[in-house]
Amino acid sequence: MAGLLRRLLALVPVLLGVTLASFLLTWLLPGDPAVFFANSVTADAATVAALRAKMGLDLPLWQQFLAYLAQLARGDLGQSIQTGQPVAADLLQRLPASAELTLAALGAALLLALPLGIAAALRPGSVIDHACRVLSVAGVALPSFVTGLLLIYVFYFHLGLAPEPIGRLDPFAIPPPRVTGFLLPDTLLAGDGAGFLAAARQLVLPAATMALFALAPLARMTRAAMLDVLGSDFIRAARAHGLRRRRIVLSYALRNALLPVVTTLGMVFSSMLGANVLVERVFAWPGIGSYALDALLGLDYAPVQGFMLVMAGLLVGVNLLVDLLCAIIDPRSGLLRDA
Amino acid sequence: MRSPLALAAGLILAPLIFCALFGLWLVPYDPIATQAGMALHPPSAAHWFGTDQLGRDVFSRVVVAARLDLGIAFVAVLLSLALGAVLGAAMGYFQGWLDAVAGRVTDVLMAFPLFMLAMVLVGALGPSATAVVCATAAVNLPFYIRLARAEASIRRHLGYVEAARVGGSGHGRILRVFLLPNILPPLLVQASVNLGWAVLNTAGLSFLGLGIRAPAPEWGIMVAEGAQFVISGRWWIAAFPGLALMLAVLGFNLLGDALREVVDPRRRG
Repeated sequence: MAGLLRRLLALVPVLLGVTLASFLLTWLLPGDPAVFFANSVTADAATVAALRAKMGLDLPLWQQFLAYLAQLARGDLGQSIQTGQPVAADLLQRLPASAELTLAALGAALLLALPLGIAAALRPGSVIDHACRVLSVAGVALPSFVTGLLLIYVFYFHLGLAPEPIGRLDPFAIPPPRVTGFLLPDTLLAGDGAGFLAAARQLVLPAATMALFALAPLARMTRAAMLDVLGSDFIRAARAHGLRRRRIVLSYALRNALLPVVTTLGMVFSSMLGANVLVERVFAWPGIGSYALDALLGLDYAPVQGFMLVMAGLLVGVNLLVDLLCAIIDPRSGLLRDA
Repeated sequence: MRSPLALAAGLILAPLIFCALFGLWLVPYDPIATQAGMALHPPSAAHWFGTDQLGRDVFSRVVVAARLDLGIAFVAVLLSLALGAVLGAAMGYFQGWLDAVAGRVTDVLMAFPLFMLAMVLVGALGPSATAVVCATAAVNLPFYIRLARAEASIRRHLGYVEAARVGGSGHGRILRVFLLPNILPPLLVQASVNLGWAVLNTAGLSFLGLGIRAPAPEWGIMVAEGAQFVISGRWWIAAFPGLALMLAVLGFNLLGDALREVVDPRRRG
């Protein structure tokens, strides 16, 4: 466990740095929050100065940072000017929308990319292999906001299969009682089959957009890793021993090929978090990405800070998870080695 | 460079770069002039890519936009390549406190999703092409620093560097003459793949209303403006700039793959 402990300890300076970075960045943002809170641009200088003193904005920067840290330690991310709510509550309310979208997309991408990559590696030069290569070259070049619009044009305007891209639910539908905040499980828990279908229909296009975006690097890496492993000595030995092909591919080769795929998965997840904002904007999806964008455009400090912290925290957590998965897949290296 | 990848990259990139350099003087219509009577016409012989909601010629706008999108990407990537190479090489060569401090900073920068960091930086710097360039360069800097640092720290004890030191070369000369030219090839591969990303990033930011502002012809803005008309079936306003954007990214990615084959022959095939 010493390796794991060291890895966890190494997170402390990064998390502290992330906090400092998001503090400094929003300090750089234009606009004076005291003027916003004074509720008018024409408020006289004395009122604004009094507000600045009250909000601690006249203190030296390092004291402001310490105050910010103390505030964070209480779980307080500040107050949004635009929604008038605590940022933590706002983020918690919107996080499930983003998470449901991202996880559905990631799941779909994995379900397609793994078999595709494996099939391509098993028959190099075949039609599947060429399809996989074209997809992985072209897929990386697809801007997610353009793919999203293309899907809307084909599936909503032309075929009429998809619902209007206006968020998670029809505005006239009654949302299910909130249990997890994820609409698919919530509608099922409420026994609302029609609601489940409606929510799923809204989810398909944005999730497909994000999945297309994630598919290419995953398929490419799966193919490359499988090709690598299938050419190695232990696979030849397994073949020579007359093991079943299925067993060789799925349990011998795949497990060894998974390591680079899992590492890629971490990178893909990171870029999906970024692309989230774009996809949410295209589909009017009420997630944390569009929340942060509105705040950024409206010069609203606290939500942007909170969003940055949540994103960095998620990413740090995912990278830790990737390292752990790698250690489980290949116990010779990684965190659990000296366990 | 006789690989099919390089050929494909050249075929895609050459016309785009031509548009960026000379498009301004070749397009049939003024890319900014509005014509109220001509709004929302589908593609025709007079307007190859149709007209947008203000009657502007989409073809002219797509061609002229190459200048802004490719220009921003080039400058941003050049900036982070230059800064990253020097800083990373110095970190790898000297190690010590510079390495420790700059290493921590890059760790923190890399803890954020790239696009999100670029968003907030542009928000902080204000809406301008310069802001987009700076944000894109800053966000990519850690990757160049890491690569340059790794390459330089492998080489600092190699024979030719030792020989240069014995021969009386100072640190500055060793870095400039012996290390930087040698670590450049892998950095250039990184840069060409990065160019595609930088174009996507620029367009993505202006799609969100950050960075470049309308009415400047820019692919991201054009897709954003066309987005509202896609639902009613008027696809051409968003589709053509989207296609141009896709081709640009594809071209740079192929170029990166082709360069990688040259630089790293082990991965050929």
